[in-house]
Amino acid sequence: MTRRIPAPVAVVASALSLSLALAGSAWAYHTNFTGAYCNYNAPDYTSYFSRDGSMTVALRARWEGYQWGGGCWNDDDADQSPGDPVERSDTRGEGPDCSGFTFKVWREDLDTSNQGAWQWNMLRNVHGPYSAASFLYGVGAPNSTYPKSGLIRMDALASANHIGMIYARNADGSDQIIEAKGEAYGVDIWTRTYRGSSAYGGVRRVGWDA
Amino acid sequence: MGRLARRSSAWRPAAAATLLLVAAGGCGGSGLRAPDRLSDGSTPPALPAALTGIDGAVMTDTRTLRGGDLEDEPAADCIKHVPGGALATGVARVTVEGHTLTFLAADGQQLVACDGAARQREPSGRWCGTATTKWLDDHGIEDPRLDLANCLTSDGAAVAYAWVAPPAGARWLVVDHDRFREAYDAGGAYPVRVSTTDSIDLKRSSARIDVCWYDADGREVGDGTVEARVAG
Repeated sequence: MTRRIPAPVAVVASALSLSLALAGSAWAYHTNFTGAYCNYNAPDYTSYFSRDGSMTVALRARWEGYQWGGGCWNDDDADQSPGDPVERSDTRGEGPDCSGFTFKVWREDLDTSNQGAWQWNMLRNVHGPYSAASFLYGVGAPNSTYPKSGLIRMDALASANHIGMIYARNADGSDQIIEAKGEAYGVDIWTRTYRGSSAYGGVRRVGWDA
Repeated sequence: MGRLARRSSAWRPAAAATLLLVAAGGCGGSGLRAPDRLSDGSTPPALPAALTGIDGAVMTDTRTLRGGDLEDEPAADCIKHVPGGALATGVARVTVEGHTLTFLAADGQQLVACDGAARQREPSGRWCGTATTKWLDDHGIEDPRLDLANCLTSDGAAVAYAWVAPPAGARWLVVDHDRFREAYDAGGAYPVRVSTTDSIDLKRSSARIDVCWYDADGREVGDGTVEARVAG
């Protein structure tokens, strides 16, 4: 990219902007969990891929933190980066967001054309290519839309802004949903009525062995 | 929904997080070649006089859709998925590598985009991607809502899309690609949904987009790099 010496007005604007960016960064990295603990190691291919196995992956994340655009956590049942600003992907905190959590629990491939299953280590910092909206519309070979009435555990309910997976169904028709709920809540299981909401659609991971 | 309100939001600290600004920059330069076609095969609009000094720049096509325009395809196929539909106006853009529609949902609280391209990894109808974000009270957004999952150029290259909110005084937005520059009309009601095939990092589900902003007279009023990640 060819650059030229900026005009004075651009210098002023850029200097102002740079100072604001740095001010934001100082706050943004207050824990730097991902910088300290996370990695970009390759995942392990999984030849046998079950809903029980994905449930185990999901439960390891329970009580961990939430990070917008994130996908790296440990298993100490505590949020290592509480109080990060919301919807900031640069805060380097612990935990996944809702779509990153689903991607990792469903053990998906970064290649959206591949339905294969991959075991991502907890400390592998990966979000995956899908937002909640992408899941909602069944984007990617591993994902498909599915009638809400037929959803079972480890299927998901997604809206344009959120996704959570079914942990269990309650007798009253509501669901226990395991989800990365938000910065103030982290990852946990909550009773939800997503199934009855017109904003939510059913999503199923394709290719379960069991 | 005035431009001033949107501009002011561009410099909120939250937005600064995704906008790492380069102190010495610009979109002048030379040696680049402007494409002679947009992604739909059409001839690009003429560059506005204010931007004619920028080498290798191509103008994107921007149309404001109102009323019945929003009921025609392909806009209707995008809007039908949004409860209540669209509020008042939409902005349709055709770029070198894709096309987009941005509109405010009927509840006035959600900004929605549908992203399109020549090809899709997995068939998903007229549009290959979508994005939604909260429309804040000051008409800003918190996150560029990067979309890179499913859209491809005719050559099979991944296309990424993100919203960029221009700063105060900006009338034109120029995206600095590797081989050309792409100018957008930034004078509309919403942040600009830009597309790119450069600097996409699929391993990190992220993209870097270099941008410059110009005022109505062609004076540069800022530049920077949008560091966008798939999220939410």
